[in-house]
Amino acid sequence: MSEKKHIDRLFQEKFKDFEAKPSSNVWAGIQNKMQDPEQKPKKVLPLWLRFASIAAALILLFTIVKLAFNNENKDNNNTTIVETKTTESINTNSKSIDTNNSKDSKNTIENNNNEGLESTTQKGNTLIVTSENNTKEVNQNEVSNLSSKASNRENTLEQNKPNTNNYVTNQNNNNSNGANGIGKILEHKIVLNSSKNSESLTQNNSVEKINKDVSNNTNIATANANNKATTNKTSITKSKALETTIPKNNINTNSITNNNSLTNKNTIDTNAIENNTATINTAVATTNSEKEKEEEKMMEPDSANSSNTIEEALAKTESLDEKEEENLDRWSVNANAAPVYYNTLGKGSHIHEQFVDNPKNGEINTSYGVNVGYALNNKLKLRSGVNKLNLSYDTANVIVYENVTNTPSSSPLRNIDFTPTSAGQTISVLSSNSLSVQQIDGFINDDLNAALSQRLSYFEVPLELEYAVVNKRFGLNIIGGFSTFILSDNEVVTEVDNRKTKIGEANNINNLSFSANAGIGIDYKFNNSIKFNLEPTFKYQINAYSETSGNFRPYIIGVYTGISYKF
Amino acid sequence: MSLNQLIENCKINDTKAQSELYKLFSSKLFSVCLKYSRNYAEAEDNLQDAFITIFKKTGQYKNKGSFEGWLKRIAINTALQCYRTQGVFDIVNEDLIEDVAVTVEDDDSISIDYLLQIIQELPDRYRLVFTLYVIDGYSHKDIAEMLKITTGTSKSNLARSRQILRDKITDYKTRLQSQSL
Repeated sequence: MSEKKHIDRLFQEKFKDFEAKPSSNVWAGIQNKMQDPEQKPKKVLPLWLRFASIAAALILLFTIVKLAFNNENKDNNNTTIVETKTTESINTNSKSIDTNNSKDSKNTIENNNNEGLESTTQKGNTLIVTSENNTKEVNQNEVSNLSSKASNRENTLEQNKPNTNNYVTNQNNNNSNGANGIGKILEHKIVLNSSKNSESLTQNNSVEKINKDVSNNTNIATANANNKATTNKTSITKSKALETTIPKNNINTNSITNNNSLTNKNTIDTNAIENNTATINTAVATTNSEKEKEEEKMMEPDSANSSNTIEEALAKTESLDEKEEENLDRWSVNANAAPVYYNTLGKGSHIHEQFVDNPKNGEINTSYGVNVGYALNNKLKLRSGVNKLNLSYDTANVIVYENVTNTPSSSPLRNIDFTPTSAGQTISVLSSNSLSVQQIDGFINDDLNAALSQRLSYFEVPLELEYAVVNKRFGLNIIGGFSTFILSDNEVVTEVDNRKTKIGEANNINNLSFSANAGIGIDYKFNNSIKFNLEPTFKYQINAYSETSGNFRPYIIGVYTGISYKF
Repeated sequence: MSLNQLIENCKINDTKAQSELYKLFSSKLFSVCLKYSRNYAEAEDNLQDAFITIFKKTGQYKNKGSFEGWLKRIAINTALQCYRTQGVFDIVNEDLIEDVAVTVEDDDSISIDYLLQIIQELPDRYRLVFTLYVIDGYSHKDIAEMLKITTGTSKSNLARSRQILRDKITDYKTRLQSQSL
């Protein structure tokens, strides 16, 4: 018989070295639970950052496009004024008379526009005439002045060109010579930049020179690109390269905002300048050729590693994709409704050329419909459907009157088929802008200063591809595609003090038209099958009208919201 | 990799280090969980929750005291937490019992599995008090704070659980002897 002992001691002794191995389920459970709460706080912030950055990029893109289109439509007068201002800033000594003239001309142009719209006083008319004369004269002066300046700049350009070539060749020499070249290169770079400035100015001045200069730039760029190709690796390692290129880029982005219409050219400039800085760094790098070799050695294993990890990551994501595809619900139905805004990018009229300068505005209407989506894989989704789309577009400052006689008006609107009124009288429409003041005083009162509203109703059949950038509870998609529009209703309505009268229908609207669509989709998944969508979409109509006056390019912006159901 | 390095890596949510840490300590902590739980499955649940807490709060470990002690405290707290939320503390008889010396005959016939089994069979609070006091060495004052009871209750619960355990061990032995005869 063993001795008696305290029960506490028994337990203490027995449990002293007690260990037990838990089943493997425990670790699996830990991993599962760790992944969920770990990923959520990490990914929520970048998600919103992505939303914000994409929204910002779209807004930027849209404003650039809009400004670019606006610039094209502006009178040449305006652009030349901008240019003379820039030349002013460079040639501070030569604040010559012609720049002052051009300023005056700008003012008179503004007056011209304002008073043209109002067209109430006779003074306005006379002013317009005189100012037009002035601007013509001024323009001629400007053209001559500018062309002489431009030719000067072209000379300087040609002088600079050999420099740039030298610069490139110097570059090559420097690669072998070493540190002495850095100073020289900096000098050359300054020359290059100044030549670039002058280039950009001359490009503003005339279209022909743009072509020349662009070809020059591309020559430089390709020359540098050759250098760049050989020295790319070393330039990356130098932090100085980044420091020098950043301010350069800032300068160039400024110039982009100034000259939106010339963005393409500026990007060529930035490329060229980046190449320059890159090549400078190569010169620095060659001074320490031994270091360079070391760095290359250092980079090689790194790159090998990175490529390995990239491959691994790709393999992982592929395997993940395959898993997800197995339980993918391919079909979905989406009911949506949207406020849509209809307007035009260019300045023009879909009715008649006399309305080109009239104030016009798109109205916010509705679109609603049903879409069916088919998921090609877990990222891409093809979708189509039918939407009913109502649009309207107003042209203001219009005078509508009924002809007393039955003969058609001397200048009928070719794009509208008027329906005769009950009394058999025909209706005529005039832009109040085109009437002189005496005529208005004669028989027009304010009541007849109406708006002409084009009402359209379409059946829209979109065919779009949706790419999922983020596919979590909050999803983010990029949507692109096109729509087919089938015209269902079309009428022209006059609005006087909110009284609406149908006066006819437009005859220049195509029964079948198309649009190019681009949008971003944000969705929130309530569960696996139901989600809420929000899709701001831009649709650019391609052949909505058979003939328009001016530069009438309609577009539709809609914020499509809806619920979609997956099955 | 040293333990300190492992802890540092766990602090930055390095999954490899977390896996390593689990391999090192899971058996020890599982034994802790077994002693405080009603059964094996509950112990596994507690171990899982304990490790999740550990991985989330590794950053709060400031190298004061032993890391193993810190891990153990988290495991115990996790097990106790489960009973706090379940509110099962008040089901036992609160009568004060004199703390007499409870002795048993010790030989190798009593397996650790049986001891664990009878601990797990104790009413929840008896089990907690007994394990905290006898095996893990907490004072009645600590236990009273941890379980939100008085030290008197803690002492009484301990005495009661000793008696129950002793009876069970004696029964077990007599059964063993009758089988062997």
